[in-house]
Amino acid sequence: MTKATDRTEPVLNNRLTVLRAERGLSRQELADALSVNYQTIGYLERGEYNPSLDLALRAAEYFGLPVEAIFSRQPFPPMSSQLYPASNTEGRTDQRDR
Amino acid sequence: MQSWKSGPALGRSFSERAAHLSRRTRRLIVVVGYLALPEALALFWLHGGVGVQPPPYGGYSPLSSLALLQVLGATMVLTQGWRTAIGPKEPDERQRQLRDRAAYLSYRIVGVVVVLAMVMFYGALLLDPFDSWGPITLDSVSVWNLASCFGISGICLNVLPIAVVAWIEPDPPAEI
Repeated sequence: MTKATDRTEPVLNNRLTVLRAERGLSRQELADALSVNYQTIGYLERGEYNPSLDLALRAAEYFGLPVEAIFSRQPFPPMSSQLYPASNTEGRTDQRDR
Repeated sequence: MQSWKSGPALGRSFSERAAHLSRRTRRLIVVVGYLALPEALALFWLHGGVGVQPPPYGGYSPLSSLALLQVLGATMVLTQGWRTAIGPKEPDERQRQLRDRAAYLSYRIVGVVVVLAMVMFYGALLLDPFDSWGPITLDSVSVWNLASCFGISGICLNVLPIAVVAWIEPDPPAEI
């Protein structure tokens, strides 16, 4: 039996921590920009709260990114593999050759 | 390096500390606060409600007052924590969701408690018919204990949604 306090909704992955760090924002500053409590930003970053569509769109608007660049149902690939896909493949090939 | 560790930091006000308590501490406060109810009931039961002895302490029951203080202290910390977490603005969408969920859970908890109390009462009547119950004479200590029972029950009911929030909310994140 599922406890009433258990989470039932799937975890939504997000890049809020990275985006906030890139822009040098504190949780409080981002919270003020999105009109939420700073604890809500913390819970979002930890994956303990899934935002409403309205909040997700507000975050996308604030960061100037499409919403799917910030929130995803699938885990995000590492930034390094997206930025340097060729060099990562080469590195792995080199390691295999050795 | 940022830390997710929560808990009261030095130099914070009482309200700030109450809003940053860890989940374990909050649950402990809920348990301590709600223990006041069985304590008050036990005091009333143990005293018997029969004025066979002269009332100690001038007819005042310090133990039931301690139980009352216990639930009042827990209520103050939990309520202050919730109010401080919300801040001067309206609760945001997560806090509204949490509040609604707590209200729903509280309603279910109260329902279960009322049904259990009814079952126990009818069970007691079946096992020991009311005709066989002796007369109950309330002395001043009993009245004080009974008043404490009602008072503590009222406080426990009133603060139940906030206690549920304190129980289910995860550890708060740091502000930075």
